[in-house]
Amino acid sequence: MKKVRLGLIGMGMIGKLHAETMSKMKDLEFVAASDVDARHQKTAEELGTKFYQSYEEMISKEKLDGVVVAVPNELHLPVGSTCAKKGLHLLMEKPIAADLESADRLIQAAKENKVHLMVGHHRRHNPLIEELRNIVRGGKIGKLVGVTVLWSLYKPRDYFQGPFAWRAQPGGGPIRINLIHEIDNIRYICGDITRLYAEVSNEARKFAVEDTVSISLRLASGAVANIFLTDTAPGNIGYEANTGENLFFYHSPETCYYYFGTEGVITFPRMKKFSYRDPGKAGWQFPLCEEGIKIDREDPYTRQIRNFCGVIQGTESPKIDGVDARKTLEVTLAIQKSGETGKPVVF
Amino acid sequence: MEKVRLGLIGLGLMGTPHARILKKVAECDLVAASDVDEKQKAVTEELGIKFYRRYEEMIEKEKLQGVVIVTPNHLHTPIGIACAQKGLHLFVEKPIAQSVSEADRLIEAAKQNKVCILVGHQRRFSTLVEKAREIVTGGELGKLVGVTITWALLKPPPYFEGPLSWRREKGAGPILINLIHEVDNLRYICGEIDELYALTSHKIRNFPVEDTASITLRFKNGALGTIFLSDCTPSLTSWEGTSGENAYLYYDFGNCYNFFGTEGSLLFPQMKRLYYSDPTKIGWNYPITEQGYKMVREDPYVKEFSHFCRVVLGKEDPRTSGEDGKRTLEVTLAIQRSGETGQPIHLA
Repeated sequence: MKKVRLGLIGMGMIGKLHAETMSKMKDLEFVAASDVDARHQKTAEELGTKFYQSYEEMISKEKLDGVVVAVPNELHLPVGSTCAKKGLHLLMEKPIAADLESADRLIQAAKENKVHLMVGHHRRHNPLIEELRNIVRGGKIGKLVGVTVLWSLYKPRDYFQGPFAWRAQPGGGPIRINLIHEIDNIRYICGDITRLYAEVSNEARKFAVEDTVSISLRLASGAVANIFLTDTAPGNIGYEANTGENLFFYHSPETCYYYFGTEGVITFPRMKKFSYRDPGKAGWQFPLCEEGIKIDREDPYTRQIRNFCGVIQGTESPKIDGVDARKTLEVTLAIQKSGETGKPVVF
Repeated sequence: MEKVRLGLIGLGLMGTPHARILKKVAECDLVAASDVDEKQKAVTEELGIKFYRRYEEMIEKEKLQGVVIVTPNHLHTPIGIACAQKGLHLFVEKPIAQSVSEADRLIEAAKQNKVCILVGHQRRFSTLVEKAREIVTGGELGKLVGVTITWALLKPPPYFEGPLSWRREKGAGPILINLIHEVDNLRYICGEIDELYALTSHKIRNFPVEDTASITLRFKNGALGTIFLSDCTPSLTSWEGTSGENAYLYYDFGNCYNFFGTEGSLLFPQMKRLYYSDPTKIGWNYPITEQGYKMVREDPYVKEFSHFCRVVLGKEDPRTSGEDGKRTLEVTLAIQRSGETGQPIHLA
């Protein structure tokens, strides 16, 4: 099969990670990368790919099959639509767009131009998450009762300073940046969310943006879920730190998710299953039996790009398409809204 | 040592062990106990105390200073008022009453008759809870930003069967029976709760009573909280399943509570504080330091009853006053109501 030819737009923190990933993959051609900042040319050269300061120039000069778009959120719609019009398949970094209207327009643009739109919720490509989904959906812990999600990692002072001052402003905080991943994981593993309520606080840092969020969710399956998230308390519980998926975060092998079922409980990412061995001895007075689940680890970013190539070649369907990613954005924005209005949101 | 003459009312599932503990507490002189069921006389004979079928007769005849009320909840108020009118100090098992208005009546009666109320939230006497409170209120975690509670365990089928089938009905489930303890712990350690929301579900057992709930809280001091509560999933993490303070339940060492502050977090009941020890290396990319606390375990019931004796003697103020017990009940009932209405509740 002909190798898929890919381009990259945006070489910031996450764009660079995509560039490094693609440069290492043998089954695709990483043709070119672009960024408005010419300083990124050096990185492109080191990775053995062409560099453009203008993405428009890149997509008109190079014969590409698809692009990975990792630009600031407000540019997702214009850049994505322009590429779609050129007939390029899209892997948009998350969130799909800055707001729901932009997401709708981008989905429409992809449809009109008959290109695939995939969104970079990379955690769906982590084998640990896939296995958790199989366990829950396969009934291996019985009927799902509930889920708890904890995220308590401390953002250092410089995270909010200098060119990153926008992170202290509304929209730049843990709901849009971090919580969106937790919402997507819950949706991917458990299904749709039907109702939610959130308390949102900025009392610790007193920035315009939130620092702590507490959420109750109801799922279509009937199960309920809790999320507690704070980026202002020294702690070591949170997906990034616990999975070791990104070693920028200090790796602590703690548990960030508990999945409670009628027949078992799974701790993630430790991937231990707790259940009663003897159904005749099931209850609070009996000990639990612990069982490890073995999973071969693989880099989710590599698997994501591989899925994108498969989508372009027509051999795979996207793990998360535009419509699905729009729902994740919708729920995430609803959390913000519930926090502001003090009212539950029903979907 | 000056001993306090006490009587106990209600020798049921809770009352009987209470009577046994009271006999062991140095400051207590448990002289009599009453129960409408004559069969409970055996317990009093074993303990060498007098038995009465009618508590009215007991409080009339015995020269008591205080009573320990361990009757069904709906009797807390009438019995408590009758005892208060006799000038007896009151130990009332939790919940203080069935409703906030009943609690008000009881509190008023105690006030008029100048007697004290101590509500039986025994966890406040757990050395673990005392230490957690000291850490949180003492500022060791900086400013409190949040707390999470997991109470997940499996009540076995016999819990709901035969004469116990009332436990399937509304009001007899994990919110009013079990969660009230978590609420009281939260209030004691973190402060007043002023806003809450609850999603409840009974989809697993399909009994009228809830089997699972997800709760979101806001404290007056600005901290937020979540509680996950379920009695239909393997018993991995709950107070009972981790603290080792319930002899009946199997326990292992996990954490049922996490407290988060701007300077550190506390894992409970493992009693580990996490913080950054190097001020130049603070943030999610650095390792975190773990500090343990050495804990001495003591029986919270023994401590609670000796405290009650000191309250009767006027040496100490009740750790859980009538007002305090009422507020815990009020928050718990509000959680129940929010679950029913699907709306958040703001408490005055």
